[in-house]
Amino acid sequence: MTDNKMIFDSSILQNISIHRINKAKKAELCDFPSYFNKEIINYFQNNGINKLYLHQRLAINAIIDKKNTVITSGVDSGKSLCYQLPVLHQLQQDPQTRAIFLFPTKALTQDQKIKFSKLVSELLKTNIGIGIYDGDTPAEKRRILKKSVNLLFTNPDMLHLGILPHHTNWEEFFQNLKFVVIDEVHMYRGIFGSHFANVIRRLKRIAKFYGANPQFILTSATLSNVEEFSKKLIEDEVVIIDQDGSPTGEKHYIIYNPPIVNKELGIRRSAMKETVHIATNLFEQKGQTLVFSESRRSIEFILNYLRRNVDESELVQGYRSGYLPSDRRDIETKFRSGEIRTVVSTNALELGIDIGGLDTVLINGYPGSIASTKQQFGRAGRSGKPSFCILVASSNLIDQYLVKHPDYLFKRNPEQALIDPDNPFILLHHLKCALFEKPFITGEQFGDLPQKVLDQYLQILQKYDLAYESKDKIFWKANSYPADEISLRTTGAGEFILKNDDKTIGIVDENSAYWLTHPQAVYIHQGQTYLVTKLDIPNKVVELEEINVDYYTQAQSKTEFELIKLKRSENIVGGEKFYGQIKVTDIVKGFKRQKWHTNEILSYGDLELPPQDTVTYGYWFSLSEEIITKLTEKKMWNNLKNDYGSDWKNLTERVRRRDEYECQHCGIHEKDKALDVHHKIPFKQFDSPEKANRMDNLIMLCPSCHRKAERTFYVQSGLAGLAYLFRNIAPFFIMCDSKDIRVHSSQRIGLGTDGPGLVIHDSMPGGIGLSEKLYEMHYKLLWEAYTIVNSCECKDGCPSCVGPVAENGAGAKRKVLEIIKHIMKKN
Amino acid sequence: MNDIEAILKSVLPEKRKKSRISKNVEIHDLIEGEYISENIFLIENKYKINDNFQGNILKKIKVHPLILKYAGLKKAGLNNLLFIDTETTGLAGGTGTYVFLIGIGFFKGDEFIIKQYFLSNIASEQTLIKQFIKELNKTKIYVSFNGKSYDIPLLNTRSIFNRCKSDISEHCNIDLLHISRRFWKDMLENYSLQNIEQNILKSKREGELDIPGSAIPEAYFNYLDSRNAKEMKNVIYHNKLDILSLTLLLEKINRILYSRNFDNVNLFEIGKLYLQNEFPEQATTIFKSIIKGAPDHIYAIRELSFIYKRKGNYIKAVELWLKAVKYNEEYAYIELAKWEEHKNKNYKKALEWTEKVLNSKYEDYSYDGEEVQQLKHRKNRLVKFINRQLSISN
Repeated sequence: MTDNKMIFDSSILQNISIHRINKAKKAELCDFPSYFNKEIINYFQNNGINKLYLHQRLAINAIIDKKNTVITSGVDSGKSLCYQLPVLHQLQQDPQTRAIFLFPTKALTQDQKIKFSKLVSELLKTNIGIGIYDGDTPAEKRRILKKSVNLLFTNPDMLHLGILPHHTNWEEFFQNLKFVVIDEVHMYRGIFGSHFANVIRRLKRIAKFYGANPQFILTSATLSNVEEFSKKLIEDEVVIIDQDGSPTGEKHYIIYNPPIVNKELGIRRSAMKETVHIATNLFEQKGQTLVFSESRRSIEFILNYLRRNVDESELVQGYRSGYLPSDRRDIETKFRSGEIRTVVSTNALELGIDIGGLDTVLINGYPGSIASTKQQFGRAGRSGKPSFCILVASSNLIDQYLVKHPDYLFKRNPEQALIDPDNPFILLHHLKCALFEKPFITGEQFGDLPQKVLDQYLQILQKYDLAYESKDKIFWKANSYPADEISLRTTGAGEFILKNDDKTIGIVDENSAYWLTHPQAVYIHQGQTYLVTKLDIPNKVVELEEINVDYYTQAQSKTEFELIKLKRSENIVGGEKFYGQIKVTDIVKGFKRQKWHTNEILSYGDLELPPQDTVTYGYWFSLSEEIITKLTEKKMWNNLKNDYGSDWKNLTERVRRRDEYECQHCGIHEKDKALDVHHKIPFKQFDSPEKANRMDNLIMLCPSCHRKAERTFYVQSGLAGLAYLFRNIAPFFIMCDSKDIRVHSSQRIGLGTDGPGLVIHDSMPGGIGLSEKLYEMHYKLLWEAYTIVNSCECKDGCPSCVGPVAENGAGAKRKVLEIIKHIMKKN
Repeated sequence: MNDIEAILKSVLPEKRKKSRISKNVEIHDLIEGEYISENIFLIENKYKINDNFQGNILKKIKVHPLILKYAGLKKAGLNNLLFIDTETTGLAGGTGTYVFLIGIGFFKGDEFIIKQYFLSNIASEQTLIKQFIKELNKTKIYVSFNGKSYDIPLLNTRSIFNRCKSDISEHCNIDLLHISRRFWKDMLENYSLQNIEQNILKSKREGELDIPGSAIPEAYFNYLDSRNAKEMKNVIYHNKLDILSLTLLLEKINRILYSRNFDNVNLFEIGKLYLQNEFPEQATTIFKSIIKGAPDHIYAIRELSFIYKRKGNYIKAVELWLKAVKYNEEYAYIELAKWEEHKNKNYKKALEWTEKVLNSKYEDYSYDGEEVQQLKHRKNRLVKFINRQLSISN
């Protein structure tokens, strides 16, 4: 790569639809604090660090000033140093100092521990214990850590499960606990964050028992509500350090839109192939590139194609969960040192693992949130050199929306992190744990939970024989270990082991195992294709066989609902709403084999896998017959199945003959199954079948191309738009993460009602009361939805309201408004 | 039912079935004893030396050197053994498990005394722990059953929890569970104290007075709710018998070792126990006697051969290795090869043994583990030596 221009060939340049340049910014530097020991300052100066960045100095001042501090400067701006230095300083003053460092993932824990160890061993002469305590720590090591560790690196799960319930083993540690460092705090949102907030309440309570009052240091990615969120998480005042004094080179932000390959049908070239094309080009220019892509499968595709394109294929590596930890460490190190030129990764590399600054970050398709995009883009940039952040837009509606409205991506505030520590289900669990850890003394508080509410819970625990009151104290009274009863993370499912020739080559989590490694599936791991010969569900093993095939497989699934117990129901304007216990069944029912490159469907396979059931709680509402009739009369209703007219069969035969039984897009020939006939301009946009069914509006397509074409023309139905709105609004009302609930729209939702409507349910098995809250705020949600859509400045829908609409899709916004008007409370 | 309770109904447990006994029956109504402070009830039982318990005689114990060494002790006087057993509110461990009954036993004069401290209200746990620590200071050696991993860590947790200074975890501990597992290895179905009582001490408890260990936590919770101590009487009986059994079991183990009557024990394990605790002479005698009775006991042959090797007695060691190769024992080939190479400097013979083990154990060479690597390495080295010798002699 040359100094400040990418030499892209015209095939790439012509498809760049957005190109914005952020000017290079010089470092804002400060001296090391004069109260720091000379040794510390000398050490850094000998290692070429003569000054601190502004934000580092500000953070250090705040921390030394005993303030709880939140650091939100950019990716790769030296955030770790902000807490490492004050901790080192404190250790020099008092070698008894203890600190706990919490990381959301094991990989980050490893990375940060190794770096801190190096600093400590080179800088401090006294004997400082430093170690990792997590699920992988051997028993003997654990014993030593408990006795002698100063700097403990662990995760919230371990704190919850292993440390707090055994706090007496950590007596000295808690007595001298000065710092609680929480890295990447934005990860603790929704249910996970609500759990974590309670773990922090427990941690503070135990620290207090040993006479300690630790100070909190947090680092976070950009959030629009970072102060409010951090305060709620640690229940204390915080100082926010959001300046960024680190230098950045010139940064180019590019949105690349793959070219249209079929004008008539509006089909664009696949984003993945374009990503490969650009990555190949970058590779040849010897620039270091990190390619992000969402799914594991796409990672392997890109990896595979890319390796075929380049000479030195060993310089291209994949990175995702499911690879063995040792392989991942190896890739990180080699990428950092420059031995590896290109890494293709899932968002696993989005977090703060140190891989150094890169020349280019290339994202295959919008990752779903602004915060994520910013994190991923943040990986690009070395001081003094220009860097490139390229988003390759997919044909998804939201990506195409971003191409047209780039300010949505570049100017809008990133998402908020929301938590609800007082959610009754979460709170109850943690109060049990807290009670187990130490009796509650009358009048003792639990975080900011109002005393009256705490007393109510303690009463309930007594009533249900889990607590015992005597002499102004309430004791735990059960023969169990309550921390075992909950996992802090919603995805607590197990893992399947991937075996080839009796050798473990990787892992896949239980939820994805059915989807990715069903029998006969082609599974790709580190660029090698395997055939799944057996999915051993009881033993959680996937057996693989190396195979070279020219196709991949794609599982097909559906979601069904079953009513277990109706708890509440009520007539609402325009229909009825319900709340109850439901079974959500996700079934992987079959798969198709598709040819590489062309994506042509070769064959279908059936699967008989056990359905995956989640018993949880849901809220759903359906629209009455009367409302649907009204909407249909206004031509607002698009969910009625199209009646293509009596002549449809003859018509299709004529089209097929005219098109010589070939897909007019990919050219595949009809085999045993008839190919599809497609309306170029959607049927629903005509008022009569005759007009819609004119021969020149019909074309023969294979199912795969048909879907692509449909997607482009897809008319967002009102209900789907409403579901989109609910998905985005609901978390704000109940302070959860968007992953914590699922929203479906359906023609016929079942669950004891015939009408079309929405189903909203807790993602977590057993539920934690999210959907009942939503049931209760039905009208409030609708009103909010209405307000948002009505006040949105877009014309036909956008990601901020009913979802983006492709150029020819019409009226989703209008439709949603019309539906809401019919079912809203009239005042 | 308040709002929160209604919301949480689905995750709250079933309420415990309460026995509807109207009358409070406290522990002092059922058992003789005294309150030494609020909520701490002390029960004391004394037994005479030479009392007979279903054929097992209570005797003062001079702990056998092997057991002392095994427990990491130099010597133990007669009067500083403390037999302990605790009853708790659960097996889960962690700070939410409380101790409500601590039983201790010790010899004094010609008596064996069992003291049991019972906690009639959780709120007074601190007093109980303080009392226990006081008792502890009189002695330095506990005898327990699984105390190493259960009672002692738990009592240590409780003393930190109650802010009592103690050195509980520093004390030495004779853990009879671990010793029993060795003594009767592969001979018992399980190594619970009850099972050992039945099969080793051949004694039986009176069922209606006892309570199964697993039912004890629930029984204590019921007592706290109902204030009816009926089941607590059974718990106290259970605890007392545990301590008595500990004493009789240690006595039995001692007697076996002093009398050298090794019928009905796993003799090979005892031999190993001697060896591991640095009593090679005794171990030699035991392994010899095993081989005498069972000449094909390959494990005893192996252990004994290494004792000889360590002593430098290669004549006897080689004899045993030659025996072992008949049973195709890999280590024996290797030891013979080493002996020929390093002691005898007979490289040809050493090579023969090395090739033999490669051929017989790893015939197809398909397994390429560390063992094979080492053997191949040895083989190459020997071939080199032999060639060098040949070239010198030429």
